[in-house]
Amino acid sequence: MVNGKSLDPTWAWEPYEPSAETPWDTGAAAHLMRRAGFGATGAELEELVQRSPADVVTELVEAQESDVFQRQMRSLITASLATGNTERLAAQWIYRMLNTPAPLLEKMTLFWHGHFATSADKVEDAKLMQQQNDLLRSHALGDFSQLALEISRDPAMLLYLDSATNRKAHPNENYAREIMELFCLGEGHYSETDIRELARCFTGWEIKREKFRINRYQHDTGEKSVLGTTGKLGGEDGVSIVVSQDQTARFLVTKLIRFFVMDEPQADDPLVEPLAAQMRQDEMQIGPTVQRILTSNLFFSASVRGRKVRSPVELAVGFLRSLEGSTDAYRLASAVQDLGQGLYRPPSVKGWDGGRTWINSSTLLGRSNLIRRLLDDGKTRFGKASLKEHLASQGADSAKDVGRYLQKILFAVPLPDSALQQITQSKSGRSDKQLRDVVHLLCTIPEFQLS
Amino acid sequence: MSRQLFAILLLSFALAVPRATGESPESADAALYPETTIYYAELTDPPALVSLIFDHPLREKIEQLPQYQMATQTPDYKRFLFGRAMVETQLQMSWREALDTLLAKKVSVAFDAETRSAVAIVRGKDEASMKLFAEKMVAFAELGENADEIRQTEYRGLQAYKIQDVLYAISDDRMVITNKPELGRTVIDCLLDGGPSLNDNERFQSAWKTRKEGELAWSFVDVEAVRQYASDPFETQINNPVLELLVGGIQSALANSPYATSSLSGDQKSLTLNLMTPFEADWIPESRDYFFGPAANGRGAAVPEIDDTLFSLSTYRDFSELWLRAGDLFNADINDGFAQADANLSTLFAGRDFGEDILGSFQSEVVVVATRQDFSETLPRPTLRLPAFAAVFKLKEPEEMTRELRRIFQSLVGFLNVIGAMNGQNQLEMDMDKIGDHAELVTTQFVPESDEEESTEAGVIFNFSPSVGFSGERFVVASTAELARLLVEAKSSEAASLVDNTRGSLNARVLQQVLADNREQLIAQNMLEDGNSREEAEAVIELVLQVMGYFDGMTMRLTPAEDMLEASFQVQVAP
Repeated sequence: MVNGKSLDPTWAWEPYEPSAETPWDTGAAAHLMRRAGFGATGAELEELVQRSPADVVTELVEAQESDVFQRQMRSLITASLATGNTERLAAQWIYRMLNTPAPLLEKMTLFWHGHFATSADKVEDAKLMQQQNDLLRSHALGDFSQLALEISRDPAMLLYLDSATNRKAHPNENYAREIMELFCLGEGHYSETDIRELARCFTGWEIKREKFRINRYQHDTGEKSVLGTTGKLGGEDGVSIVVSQDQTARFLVTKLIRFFVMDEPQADDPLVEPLAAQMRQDEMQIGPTVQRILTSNLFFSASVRGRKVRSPVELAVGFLRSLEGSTDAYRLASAVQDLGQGLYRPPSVKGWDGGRTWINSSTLLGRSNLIRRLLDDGKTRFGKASLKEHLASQGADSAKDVGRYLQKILFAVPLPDSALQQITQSKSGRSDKQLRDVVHLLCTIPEFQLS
Repeated sequence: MSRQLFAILLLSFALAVPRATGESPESADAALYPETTIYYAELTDPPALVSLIFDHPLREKIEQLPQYQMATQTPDYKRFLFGRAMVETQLQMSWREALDTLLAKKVSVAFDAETRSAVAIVRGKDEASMKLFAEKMVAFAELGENADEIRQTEYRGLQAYKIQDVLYAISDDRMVITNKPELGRTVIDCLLDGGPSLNDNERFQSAWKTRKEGELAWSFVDVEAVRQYASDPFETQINNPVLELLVGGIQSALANSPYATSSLSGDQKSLTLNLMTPFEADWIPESRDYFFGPAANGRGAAVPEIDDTLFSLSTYRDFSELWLRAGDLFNADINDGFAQADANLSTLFAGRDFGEDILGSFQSEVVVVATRQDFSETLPRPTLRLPAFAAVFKLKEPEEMTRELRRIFQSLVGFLNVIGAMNGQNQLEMDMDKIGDHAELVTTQFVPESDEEESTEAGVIFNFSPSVGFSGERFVVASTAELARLLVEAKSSEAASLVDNTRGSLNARVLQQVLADNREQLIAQNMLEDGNSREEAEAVIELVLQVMGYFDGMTMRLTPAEDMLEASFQVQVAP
């Protein structure tokens, strides 16, 4: 159901063909880049519309970080880990999001960070947190079965879930519960017995001196029965059984639709099932599933534009990337944390609730202040220049032109004429300060919160 | 920050601002400032200072740097050049010529306590030049956003201008600039009629006599008046143990001293800032005997000579006395902290009273040394490469205390290993070594995990191998075994440094090497902090390293002489 109407799943997942009603224009391209990345500049949007949407999405899905970029990021990570400070880690991730040549890969890494939520507040080990982050990135668009198996042996995850030890005499049920409830199946698709049995599969799995190991003497070698499969199952078998459930693909597709298409309402089974079936057919490959979503009629339909609330990271990184911005990554990481999205610090094992929960009277004011701080921060540059110079290079050197330009690159829904007129009339100057005021005012209106 | 500390820092800053010949019995400019002036500074020969800055060989070197050349291509620099060209066109002279004309004779500034306002007198080449500058200042202001805030008026036949809150007037070759009209009027009245002035202040007269030949700039602070106007900011407790150690004695001196002066001298090889204030040992209360020692005769120790010393500090501080007199020096909160620390440290030091028995076993002369560590042959190699550092003490009773301190260090290592094991950290492995008959070392090193033995990106702890060394009365506590070894074997420097209470020096060449060792870290930091690209960050760090290479080092001294307390800071330029 969208806007009170039932959706035809067949139509919804059919590849999008541009039409007079839903043209492939800069608005559609901006929508794609906001959802599948962190926004795009005006020049990038003009370039994107010269190609077909399918080609653009394929490029997004297949994009890889260059060797040079990876070396630079490795250097930032090494420097961040040298002091063991997780705040530095958050700053380098912000830097990566701002500069990555593979935005969808980074967006999906952020998605999995919220899905397999693990917080540095509890793990208290920057190296392990980054190790997990690297793991999420390496499988972000790959094989979910492999990702689930590796995350099940990830030291940061097991420490976070108090599952660093798991002895046969006292099986630790924490991870068994979370992999079924939060990572793969969702509530109501397993029993307490399944949890106990799965926990037995994981006995002997330990974290010792920051590394995963299997203590064969503590593994329960007896017969177990998990979700209808019986045998002398080990941890790998347990993960495989859970991932191979039909529900797993449904659960993941539902989350992916929410992440990429719309916060509300939650996709119903008829809408989810065709994509879930395809995912199972693709042996749980994530990339093709995401590609189907991003090339679908539903994704490009007018009904889902502006149907998501920007997360703090999307808001700040999107604002800067769209304006070719660079800034102090430490301050930015701290600011998004203040707005509720601390990188490497999700609030609980459930990750961020997202959607409307990002917005309240306090965070709304905080979001406005964040944009103001970014605009006024001496370290913030736009296209290596001042805001005025950057906007002028884009043909926007008056308040009115700035309104039009920002509408194109930053706004998911058309701005009310009255608001645009009021802002551009009240701020008619052309100095850098006046243009910053215009940009700030535009970014304070409610529509800016929507993606 | 406490009020009195703020006052000390403010005073230091104020003194740090401004050549007096020492021939004139009184200052010509001071004759124009009111008696209530509490701060006065002058550049007697501004062209010499301008020449020192602009004609220094360093300038040419910097201008030849590729990074400087790149900076001159930026829009900001081009805007600056455009603005400068506009000024040159308006004045019909080059900017350097304009500076030499405007600052041809002398510049002085003063702060008047009564009107709480500031005034400056700039003596240029001649009246015509100064009038030209005054008119052009108005012309430029008219181009700005506050053109409607420009006013012209007249006082006693002199044309005066007001641009926003700044007033200025021309009299002969002088331009008088102030932020309050009443002070401006007082100065002009003095200029035209004479009258009571700062020269009548006895403290200023005494200070004026302390000037030396060759000084580029000189300044004076009427400390006695500051104490009156600011309700004696030098009387209360500092309440910060580290700051107390750094400036406690100076605060006591300023609480009694009538005035303080600063002077700046320099040539193409070095630049020196001297701060001086009258000083009497009796002014230091008993509670701060730890700072200058009895009768203010405490002197720092000779520094052991070792290669690649990055930094050394030799000082006289009786830590035991400070610890035991904490009750007189700090407030209740700080003393609670001392009591808690005393209990914990006494436990750690096997029941020995920390203040009396441990700190009391050391003489009051202490040396702190930091050196660069060379990791080229060392594995595991830490990502962040820190200098090694050490403190060198003299033991009062070497024979007894060597045994005691060795045992305490062994206990401490055991304790750290227990704590480290609980937190999954690397363990310390201990070793002992005799060097001839006179010296011994107790060294430790962190044991790497099997998979990090060959690491070149190891953790920060691999910068450390905490060790102690004993050689006669010398006791060394070092962050690394290598430094402990070097220090127990090192000869001490000449006793020339023993006139100073505190003497510190920084070697810029070694600092450059330490920074270069951490180049990757610095680049990463710059990228994250300034949002720069890798290439931009590399350029910034290369510039920092290059510029660091233009300096030899820096020294600071704190010297209580018979009747003056002198602090000096000197920067040396590489040949």
